[in-house]
This record gives sequence, C-alpha cells and structure tokens, in this order.
Amino acid sequence: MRSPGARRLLLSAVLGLAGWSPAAQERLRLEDVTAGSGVRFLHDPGDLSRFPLPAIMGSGAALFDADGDGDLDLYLIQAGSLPEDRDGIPAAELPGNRLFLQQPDGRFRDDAGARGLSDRGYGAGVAVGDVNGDGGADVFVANYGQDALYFGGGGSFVRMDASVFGERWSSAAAFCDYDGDTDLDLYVGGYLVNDPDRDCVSASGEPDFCSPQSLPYERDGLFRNRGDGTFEDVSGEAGILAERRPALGVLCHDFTGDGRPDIYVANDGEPNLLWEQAEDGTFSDAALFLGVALNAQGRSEASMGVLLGDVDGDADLDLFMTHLRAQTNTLYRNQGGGYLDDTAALGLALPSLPWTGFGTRFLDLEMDGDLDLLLVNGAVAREGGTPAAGGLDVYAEPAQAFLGDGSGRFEEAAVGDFTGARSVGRGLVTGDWDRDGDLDVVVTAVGGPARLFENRSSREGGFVVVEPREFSRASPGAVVILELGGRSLVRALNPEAGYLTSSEPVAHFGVPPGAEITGLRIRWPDGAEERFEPPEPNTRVAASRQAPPRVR
Amino acid sequence: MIPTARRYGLLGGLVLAFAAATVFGQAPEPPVADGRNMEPQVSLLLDRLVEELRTRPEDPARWLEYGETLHAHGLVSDAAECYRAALELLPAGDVTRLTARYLLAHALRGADRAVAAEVLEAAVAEHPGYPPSLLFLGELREELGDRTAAEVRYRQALELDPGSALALFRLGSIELAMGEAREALALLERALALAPDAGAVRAALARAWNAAGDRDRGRAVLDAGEARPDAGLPPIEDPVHFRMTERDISSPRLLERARAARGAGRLEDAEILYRDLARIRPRDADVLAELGAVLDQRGRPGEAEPWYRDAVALDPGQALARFGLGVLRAREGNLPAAEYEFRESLESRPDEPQTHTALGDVLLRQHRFGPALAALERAARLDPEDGPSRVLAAVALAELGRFEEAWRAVHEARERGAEAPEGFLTALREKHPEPGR
Repeated sequence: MRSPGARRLLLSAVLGLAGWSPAAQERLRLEDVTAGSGVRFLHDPGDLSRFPLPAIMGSGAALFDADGDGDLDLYLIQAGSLPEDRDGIPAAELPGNRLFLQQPDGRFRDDAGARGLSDRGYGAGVAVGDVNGDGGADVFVANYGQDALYFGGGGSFVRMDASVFGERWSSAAAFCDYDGDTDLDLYVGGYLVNDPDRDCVSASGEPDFCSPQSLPYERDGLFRNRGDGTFEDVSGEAGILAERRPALGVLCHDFTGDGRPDIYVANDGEPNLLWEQAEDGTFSDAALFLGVALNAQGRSEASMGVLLGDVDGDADLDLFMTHLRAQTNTLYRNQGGGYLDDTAALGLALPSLPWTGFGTRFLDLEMDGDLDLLLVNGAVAREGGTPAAGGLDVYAEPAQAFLGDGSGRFEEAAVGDFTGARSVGRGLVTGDWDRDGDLDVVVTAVGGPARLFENRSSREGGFVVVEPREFSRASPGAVVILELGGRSLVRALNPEAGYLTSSEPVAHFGVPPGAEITGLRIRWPDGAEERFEPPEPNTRVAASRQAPPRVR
Repeated sequence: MIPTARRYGLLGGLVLAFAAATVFGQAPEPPVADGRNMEPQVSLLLDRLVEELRTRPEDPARWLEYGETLHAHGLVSDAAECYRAALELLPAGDVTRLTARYLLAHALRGADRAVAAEVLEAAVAEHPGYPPSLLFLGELREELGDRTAAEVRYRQALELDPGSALALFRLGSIELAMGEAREALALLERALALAPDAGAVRAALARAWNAAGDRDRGRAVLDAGEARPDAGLPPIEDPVHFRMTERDISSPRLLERARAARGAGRLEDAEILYRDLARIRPRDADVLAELGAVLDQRGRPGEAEPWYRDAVALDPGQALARFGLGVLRAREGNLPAAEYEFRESLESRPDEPQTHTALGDVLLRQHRFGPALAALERAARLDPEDGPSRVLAAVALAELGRFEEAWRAVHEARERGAEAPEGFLTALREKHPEPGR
C-alpha cells in the first residue's frame, strides 16, 4: 500500500501520545531485561505458508514456583509444527514447552528436560494449581490436539493420563473448586474445530488467516476432580454443553454472591457466557441477564483476554476484556445486580480501536492503591494491500499501559520498554520474580521471543502481597480485601485471568504513602469470609483459611 | 485525549492539500492498492476503476464509486481519501455530499471515532432529515463517552422515524445506563414490540426489569425469547452502506451472496454465483459441493454429480457432497451405496439430523428396521421439530411390531405437520386400532 500505512501509524501515534503523561514516563518503567535474564525462547508457530489459524492465536506462559524453592519460575508454552504436519517428525525434534528455573542470583536457567515438563503438543494455554493435594504445583497444558496434565512435586513433573480432556483445540483453562469439595476442578475453553485444508482470504481477496466464524465451534469442558487429581468430564450433566461458542478466556468467580463459583467465558465473535451455578451444581447462562454478553450497542465482540478487578474503588469487581481492531476493549462496570458497558466514559474505548488486544492484567503500577492496566496487542488479519512478504511483521502492534485514577477512569501512559515494543503480542503474565514488592511482567508473542520486563518504577508508597491459601493450596476465586482506614482495596485471585496464561497466585496491593493498614479480610470461593491480622507494610504474607468448608 | 480541533486539523490538512491540487489544476492521483496478492477479479476491478478515474478525475461519482469499491474490499484508508475527493468536487447542497460524508464517517470509524463524528455532524447540519445519519452519529457519540449528545441524536432520529426500534433500543439503553430504570422500561417495551426477535433488545429489557427490582420478570422476558442473543438487532436502515457492500466481489462475499440466494430459493442466481466461485476457488470443496447441491435442487442431478465427486476428491469428508451422492444413489435404488455415502457424511457431521433421517430411510428400505429406527430416533433427538423422521420411525416401529409406539410416532409427526401415507395408516389400523379414535 502506498501511503495509508504511514498515515495510520501517524494517527495512532498522535492518539497515543495525547494520553501520555511525561511525569508517568519518568516514574513508571517496565524495562526489558530479557537479554540478561537467561531466558531465551522463540515462539515457533509452524509453517505459515497457508495461514493456518492456530498459528496466529499464539501460546501462553505461567509464572509459578515449579521447584518449591520459594521463588518464581517461568514456564513458556511452545507450538511448533501443526499436528497435521507432524507425520514423520520424531517427537524429540519437536520444540516443546520450556521451563526456566530461577537461580539464587535471579537469573533463569532452562530446565524443561530435567523436570519433565517439556510437553510437545501444539501449545495454547496453561493453568497451574495443586490438583492432587500434595502441596506441589501441577500443570495443565491446553493444546491444539491432546491436552496434557502434569503432577508436580519434589521439583519434578510426571505426565498423567489426560485422555479425559480429549483431543481438540483447547484454548484457555482455569482451575477452581466449583463444587466446594475442597479440591480443584478444571474448566477448559474449546475454540474451534479446525479444518487444515481450508484456505481463507481477506476482504480484498488476499490469502490470510481464517475468521473464527468460518469454522465450527468447539465445545468447552468442565472436569470434576475426583479428589486424587484425576478428573471426570461432567460437562453434560453440568449443563455447559447447552452452548458451543469459540472460547478464548475463562474466569472462575462467584459473580452472583451466593457462595457458589460461577464461570465466565469470553468468546471470539459470539456472545460471552456467564455460567451461573445453581444449588444442584448445574449451570445456566446468565450473561445476557447480567449485561456481560454483549457490548453497550447489543453486539457481540471478539473477546480474547478477560480480567476481574475493582477499577472504581467501590469494593465490587468489574470485568474487562480485550477485543479486535475497530472494536473497543470493553469494561463492564459492576453496578450490583448487573453490569454496564462503561468503556467509553472510562477512557478505554478510543485508544483500543487501532489494535487487536490479547493478553492483559490489572496491577498497581503506581503503587497508589488504584488498579492500572497492561495489555499486549497483535493483529489476526492483514490490512488490505499489505505485502505478503512482510511475514508476521505486518501483524505486530504496540503494547499499551493505562493508569487508573481509582474512580474507574484510565489514561494511556508510556512505561518504558514495555510500551515501546511492537510484537504480535499474545500472553501477558505478572509476578514479583525479584521479590522487590512490585509486579514484573512477561510477554509472549507469535513467532517472537518471550520478553521479560522488570518493574523498575520509582515509588513513594509501599506494598503488601497476600497469598490466600485454603486446604493447603492457593485459592483461585478468593477475594482479598485490604483495609486502609475507610478505604478498601479489593483484589480477586484469578491466576488464569488474561489470555492463555497463569500469573503468580497472589493478591498484590500498592499502599499509598501515609496510609495505615487497618485490616485484612478474605472472602473464600464458597462465600465464607475471614478476618486476619493487618499485615505490616512492605511484607508478603500467607493467609490460610481457618473456617471449615461449607457443606452443600 | 487529543483535542477534537487538533484531530480535525489533521483531516483538514489532507482535505486542504487535495483542494489546493484541484485549484491549481492538478488532477489528484487516485490511491492505488498493491493488488499482487489479491484475487484476480478484485485487482482487475480496482485497476479498471483507477483507469476510468484517471480519464475523468473531475467526476465526483467516479471517486465515490472507486471509494466504495475500495471500502467494500477492506481498503478503508484509501476509500476515505476517495470520499474526501468526491466531497471537494460536489457543490454545496448536493445530496450526494450526504452520501460522501456518510461513507467517509464509516471509513474513519475504525481508526478515529472523533473525526468520524465530526464528519457526520457536518452531514447532519447540511442534510438533517436522514435518520441513519442521526442514528450513526448517536452511536459514535456514545462510543466517545457522551451519552447526552447521543441521546439528542437518537431522539431526533425517533422524531423522523417513530417506528425505529433501534432508536428506541438505544434510548432505552442510555436511560438504563443513567439509572433511569422506569424510563428505560417504557422505551425498551416499545422497542421489543417493534422488533420481537431482537435478542439484544430483550436482554436490555430484562436488565431494566432487574434494575427496577423485578428480577423474576426480567428472567421471564429473557426466557420468552428463542432467538440468538445478538440476533435480530434492528440494523440502521442504511441504503448507502448497503450499496457500498454490494460492490464487494471478493470470494468470501460472493460465497455469502451465493448462500443467501440458495437459502432464499433464488437458485438461478445461486448457480451463477457458485459457478463464478468455482472458477475463483477451484480447490474449495465446500464451494464445489454447494454448486452440486444447487444443480441437484434445480433438477439437474446429472450435472450435480461431477461437482460432488470433485468435492470428495479434494476433501473425502465433505459432508454435503457425501450427502448429495447418497441422495443420488438412493434415487437410483442403489441402497448400499447410498448407505455408505450417508455414513461417510455422518463421520464428518455427526449431528446433522437430515442425514440421520436419510440413513434411516435407506435402512428401512433394506428392511433393517432396528438400525433404521436408531437412526431416525437420533434424527428426532437432534431436531425435535422434524416431522418426516417421525413418519419413518412409525413405519419402522410398525414393522418391528411395536404398534402403540408406531401410533405415537404418527401423532408426533402430525403435531409437526407431517402426515403418514394413508396406505400405511390403513395397514396400521388393521394391526392395531388408533388410540383415541
């Protein structure tokens, strides 16, 4: 194309810069430390010559303590040759997922082979949780093809029988104890039934990746933990097979406040689902009723990453999700009893229009108690007339950061290398790997390197990190409330929130200067609430459940 | 946020540059897309339009036509350039300026809602009586976070067109967002009465009842709807935008049109479109199979068969082609071959009720009543409203000596509008009286 590309770029740059605050640029810095980190990982999407759709969807990552030494390790999901192109390729020659263990000096060392986590499926998402109750983190890998489950313990992993999860195109997955029997169950989003022989073209008739609406949708799966880390497929009896839509984001949370976890599913180009759990353990879709299926104009959007967070400081949790170019990312504000798409009024609509959003996380970058927002972008279709020879470059887009003011309004900001980089961004995980009290970031990209951004922002306030634990494991779905006098900071523990990733399972709080920490409460997934001693500023505390599980 | 004046300044700069070129007698150069990777019919069309425009650069209609064609093929930035050119050439007051501005706003919408809204404001100021402009402007104002300005535009649209379900829906949604549940209820009830199949309207009304404190009534409103949640949303009645999309001749768009024609029973149109598609996408098994099906529907099974065979050669699991071949074999009386094709079709599409019914039929005709019944019951489970599968099931049940169940199936078929043949009913009555008669 002759000139419009440059024009678009200029327009986007002007749009972005208009919101950037120079003060924030100096203060807030996410610096690319990949080169010195020891992490060398290049995502391999396989042969792109026929634009296979799985290749552009990308792969995720997880930050968790894989070897039980107390620090964070990094697990990166790989793709490689598509399953249909693997005939004759020895398994050992497929690239496989990689585990980078953090060393005492803070650098990471590749240890996948030794630890048994080198899954060689065509990887998409990942979920982490202790499913067999042995205290070690276990790992579920959602693949395009056969999914995989690994039991961890003693610093190594063993591949378990995963046939119950089936062989299909899984995307996002999330652990939570939906049935209240104290062990972690699993929800796996199904994306599409791919047709490798289908060639697709763009609006101008150029070869490009297929639209998801051109393929049949895959079913989701709900898998109940039998108590020993083995699972049974309860999708049918639970009622979630009533709908079949292309899922890309999954969140487990008690949206209705009845003490029963519900499941939110962000779908690509189809109405989103909110599986509301009834007393008998069955689910029905309440997304339309609660106002989180469609945007303000009654249209379904191409939802990818999904988050929960209290953006407006009213102590309830709002929903945010990332979308396709020319659609806004959407923030559904919790109004108690229902949600309102308030994206435009909160400043998140216009800056998202030029880009296709995927991975995203809330975090308190400014350490002022208000949630800020990071997201990575990357197109899934070319603009008409862009050169095919450009490879994946024509899909690359910038990452974005937004600073929240605590009232729900956001303003775009530059935060060092993070917002300066362009990639076909997909996964975004957060975790405090250097244990300095702020959250660091890892980003994955289609066909690009995984990149580590260390948070080197200057700060005036302090922090508190809470690890909510129940039944000797982290508690996905828990809500942690830190009281600062009359102000309550609310954080939902959803490690798998975002896109295809699993972040460090902690609730992280920035504490503004001069604020006094007066209380700590945790609302467990079954609705029971407990109060804990107020933590000291600048500490990391584990808060374990004392109350017995609620009998259903 | 970038100030509106500054944004408009950017657009104004481009427009001024264009104006200067025309004032000083230089014909503006039309934007040229790199068509090397495009489908040939698209790049040829664009080339032709560029050549025509170069011979008549002073003709705004040609700029509009070229812009609409670029726009329809996703070349949005270039389309915007053409609309601006047309706008500059059109005299004040000319109604085509409304078209140019309306399309320009559409083209700018994805990249910059604020500039798009400014363009529409100008369109509305010059031609205030076109409801789609007002509705579109209202949407843009909402997306820009200004619900008050949006409301004004929706109310103007509603005054011009009191039967606009979309205007009522948007106004109701705004009232709901502002916490005015009662106002919202009144507007949304009117919208739903005008567009009862609109899932989004129904959902908004349900939320309004919920917000008004009547959760049960909200649930009841939702439960009363059967359409997809986002189906039936009243569109902006938008002839200008429709005209633009009609210029799209890319194969995805042609396929969409071919399917629409086939679905609407316009088989002659469908055949023409599918034949075009088969030339553009000769290795697309779906296209070949659908062309075969259209020919079969037009009563030319002999012509259909080679297309089915080509489709199966490209994709042995092509369910429609397998089904079509099965139907052809069944018509010839080659029942084992028909059964084979139906079973192959079901391998790829196991949830297709029509194929289970067809399989049940050929099994029945081979006197394999048990398997036939199983296939027909599967069809009925997959499509509970299907009558023919119940008729065939009645025959299978009767042959198996299960007369009471056969009568039940006959009655179920009747409830679904399908009647069993009189000869079969007479024979069944001889075996077992019809219950309730």
